[in-house]
Amino acid sequence: MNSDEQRLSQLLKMSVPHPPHALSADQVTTRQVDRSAKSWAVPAMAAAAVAVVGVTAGVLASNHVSGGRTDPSSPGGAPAASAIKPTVTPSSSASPRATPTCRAEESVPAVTGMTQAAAVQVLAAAGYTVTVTTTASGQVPAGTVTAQSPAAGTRLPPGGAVGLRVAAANRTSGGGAGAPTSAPATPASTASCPAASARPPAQGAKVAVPEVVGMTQATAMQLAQAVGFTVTIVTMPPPASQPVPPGTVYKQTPAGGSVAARGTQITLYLP
Amino acid sequence: MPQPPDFADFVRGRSGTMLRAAWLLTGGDWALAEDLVQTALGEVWRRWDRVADMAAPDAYAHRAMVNTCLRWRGRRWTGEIASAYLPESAATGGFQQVEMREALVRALRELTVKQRAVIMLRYFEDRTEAETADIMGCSVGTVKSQAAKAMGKLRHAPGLKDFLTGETAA
Repeated sequence: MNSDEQRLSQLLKMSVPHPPHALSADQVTTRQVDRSAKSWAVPAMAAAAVAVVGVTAGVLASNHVSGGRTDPSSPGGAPAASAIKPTVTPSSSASPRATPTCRAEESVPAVTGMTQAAAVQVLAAAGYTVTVTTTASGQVPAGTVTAQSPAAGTRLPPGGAVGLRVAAANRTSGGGAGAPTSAPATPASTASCPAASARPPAQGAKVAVPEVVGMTQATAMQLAQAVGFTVTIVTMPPPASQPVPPGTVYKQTPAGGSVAARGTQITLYLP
Repeated sequence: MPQPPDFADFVRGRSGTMLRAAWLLTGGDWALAEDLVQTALGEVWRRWDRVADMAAPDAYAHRAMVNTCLRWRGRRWTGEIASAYLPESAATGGFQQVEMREALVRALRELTVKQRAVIMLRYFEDRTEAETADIMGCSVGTVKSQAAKAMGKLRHAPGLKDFLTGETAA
């Protein structure tokens, strides 16, 4: 620095006044809320809704698969939606709706047998971080979760890490083995779950009604009963405008996403 | 919307320093300076999850402020401001200091926003040319040339000329 620059530096430090008043964080954040609320609030709500569907359907899907049936329509890496509604037809207008409420999960959900994507989504929605290890396995389809640690039902507070072992495609056996990839849970899912560590609701407590339209009767019943509803099946021809494959729920009351007390009767309509 | 607890502390700790720097960037206009700092801190807040984990969140905030200011180039005030009015002067410091400050404000308004940014970073915050270039996202050569141009203007500014050329030692 030459002498000019030194004098300028001195002048600036001497002349720059102290601010008349300090800023507070509130001034910053209230301004920012107005600007950013629109841009991300909607995707966040949607993500929360998807996460809830993932949890409820995920638990179900694992029961489903471990019961001896695998779902050939969900290849590895497929979105969880394919595991949620394996029998939904393209013509069905049913769309999974769910209120962004939280399913309180204090114990690790069962994800063995699910696709990796579905398992990660279920665990992320429950507030866990996921580490995936790919291993060769000849028996199960590639992308299927073959083992989980800790085991399903283990008490683990949200934020804990769950390790998954996922079957690799046969041709890559050995190559990708043991390479862990980390998929951290979305912060939104934990942040929006104030009751994440609460106990499962008692009889009579309000719970969200699962959306089961498009599912098979067995699947829908299993899911509704798991949340604590009693199920009544009504066999009735669907409206002519709505083609429904046999054995598929085409209507439910109360509607999915609404809130009802545990123990309430849920009516499922099948063709 | 949840607000991380330590963002408030960060604003309390940093806003004074940022406001003084912003005062220079905006050519001595407190209203604009506050607007600038609020906008920059808003950027920080939106990314606070990540910024809070950084080694130097203050450096990030500072960079956001300078870049916001440079982005605002299109706005009327960021260029040279022909000041037909006398800038406000705080009634602090001695008489000489107040006169000097007014002279500085008038001189700053003759500079471009880029020149003010270089002046602020190099001579108010004593950053190296490399650091200044990094924060502004330009080359060291640009920093040098902008500093030289700004220096040339300030050296001839009325009220500053004597001080900067050392004819009347402070």
